Amino acid sequence: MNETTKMGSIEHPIALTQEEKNKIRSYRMDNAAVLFSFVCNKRITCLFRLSATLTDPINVNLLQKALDRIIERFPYYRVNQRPGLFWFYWETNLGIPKVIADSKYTSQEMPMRKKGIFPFRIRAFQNRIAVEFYHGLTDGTGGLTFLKALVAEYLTLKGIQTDDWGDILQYSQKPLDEEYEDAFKRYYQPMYPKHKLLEVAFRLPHKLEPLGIFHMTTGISDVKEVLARSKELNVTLTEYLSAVYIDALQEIYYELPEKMQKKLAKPIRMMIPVNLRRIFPSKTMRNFSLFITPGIDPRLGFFSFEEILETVYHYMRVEVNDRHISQQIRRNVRGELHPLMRITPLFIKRIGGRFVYSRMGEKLYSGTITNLGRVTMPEAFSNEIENIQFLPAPTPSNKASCAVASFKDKLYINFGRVIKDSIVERKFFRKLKKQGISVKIETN
Amino acid sequence: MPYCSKCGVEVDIGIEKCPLCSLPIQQFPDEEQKQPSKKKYPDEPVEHPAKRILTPKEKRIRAWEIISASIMIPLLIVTFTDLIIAETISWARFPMIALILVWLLCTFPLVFPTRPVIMIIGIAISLIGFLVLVDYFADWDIDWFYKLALPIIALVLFLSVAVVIVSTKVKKKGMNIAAFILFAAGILNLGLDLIIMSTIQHKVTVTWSLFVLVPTFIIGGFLMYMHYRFTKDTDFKTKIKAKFQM
Repeated sequence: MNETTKMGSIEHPIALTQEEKNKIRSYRMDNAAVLFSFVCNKRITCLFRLSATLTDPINVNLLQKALDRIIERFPYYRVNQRPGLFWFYWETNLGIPKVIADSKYTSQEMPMRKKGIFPFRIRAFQNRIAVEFYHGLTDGTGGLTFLKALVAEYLTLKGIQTDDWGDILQYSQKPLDEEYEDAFKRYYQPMYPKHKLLEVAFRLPHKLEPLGIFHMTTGISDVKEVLARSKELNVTLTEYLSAVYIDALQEIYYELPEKMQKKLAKPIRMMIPVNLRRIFPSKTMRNFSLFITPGIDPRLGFFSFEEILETVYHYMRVEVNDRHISQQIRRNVRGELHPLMRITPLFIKRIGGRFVYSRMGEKLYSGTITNLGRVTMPEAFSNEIENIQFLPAPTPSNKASCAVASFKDKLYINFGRVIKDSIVERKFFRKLKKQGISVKIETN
Repeated sequence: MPYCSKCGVEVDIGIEKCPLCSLPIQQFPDEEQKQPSKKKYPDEPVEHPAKRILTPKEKRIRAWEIISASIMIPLLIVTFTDLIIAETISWARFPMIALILVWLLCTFPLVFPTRPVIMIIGIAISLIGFLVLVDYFADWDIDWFYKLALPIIALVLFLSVAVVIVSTKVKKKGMNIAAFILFAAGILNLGLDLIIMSTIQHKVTVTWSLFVLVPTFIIGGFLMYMHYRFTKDTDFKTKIKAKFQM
């Protein structure tokens, strides 16, 4: 690490009083966090990662200083997961989160149930700052807001000055009450009918790597090239990449021995998280995303790429709207608010929670693709940043998953996998290449 | 920029194999002169340091510690319950000596696993001591121990040691081990019959044990025959197949 970077001279006014800072508060977990708190373990770490690579090496002391400041702007992240009699809950953590060294394998288990553990990690390696967030704490949007604020604070301390802070949350601002809210409960419609339960999906039959190994493959493309291709096909970038992913999984399915094909003949379905803040206005910094699951059924025969694309396109048009999403919210929140559920002791809920997560979550899809969209920073900061990337959490059920983000003119497609064979990425990127999109590959 | 000729994807300078298909990347002399790209991730994982593997001795000592602590809890409970209610150690002496016996039976194999003589003598003394105490605590007199318990323990020990020695000595192990155990079980029953009848009826006679002795010896004999008759030839399965071919 380079320790020679000049310290910045700008000092922000303190937004919170000392008393406010040291006040121990406890927060009820949001609806999504409840489930994550039951299932996270050594394999399902529930940790997604966001990273920003700067043009200069990171000064760790300065980054620590930036973190010490910025964490006060995010009091809802300065917490520790504690067990109650009936639920886990968040409690203010008066400790100081420390910047730690980066690891070859990202997003590895965090001992969430230990006292004093922060539900996120800040890591530094060469020019890169990375945050690994426990999904129970927030979703990709919340994580990105934090990373942007941290990077901006770090660059400010380094002496970069700007008047244009855009949407970046600043150390000098007081947190809004709305940032703490569980937006799922705000938009809960108890009278809506149940959301239908899907059939279990096809999942890769490959053997898992030993615990702790998490391969990461990054495909870097020109965002304009991918957008042009998507536009040509009249679909969005997410729809296009999802269709390529499904096509890759279909190819893997048909390459399996016939006996195995018969055994695994189930729908090939993607899990695509949707940022609900775009549908239901909310400034929450906690979880507020749900997923939709477009897919094909190989039992109906082979699907051409155009057919897959059409299926995904129409599925997204039907499903991504307030009514259908509300049905999902209704199902999840109702489960949490049910009187029987409320009085069940935590240790029983934890056993049941794993089953619910498996049957109503991870077993329903064959792969995950999550698109954070275009990440922007004010120009003064943007000039100091090479790239911002989004990396998925390890998923032992899907074996491989994908997270996408674009910054400046590049699209970063990150595949994380817990199997040895890079079959999914290989098929996926070869298909992109065949469609005329150039890809550069990096791995860990 | 170098690229994989099979996948068509570009890779960093200095990468030797395609990260997707492992095909060697063609290296060009002009590219070799360029600075190789920086590492994207550290070489070592930070989390999950290699788990320290315990040696067999450490495993045994740990097991012994856990067993000792687990036995200590009921031992203290029965002792204090008796002390509080009866203000003396009355009925609690029986569970107490039983728990101590269990602890001793676990201790000898865990602490002296490579010293069979100490193990056997330790277990024998523990059993004898336990039975003497049970006999003594019942009516503050030692009566049935000499006539029943001591000869039975001697017989059980003798037969166990004999089976272990014979089993370790034989060259080929298989069904013959099962036969030795059966023979020992038959003899044990015969011995029990003799000891019990001589104590109760004061005469040496064989009664019910014949019904155990005969089948165990027949089955044991059959197993011995199978073992030594067929394992002399290497392919036992082929022989059986040939005998029963249709």
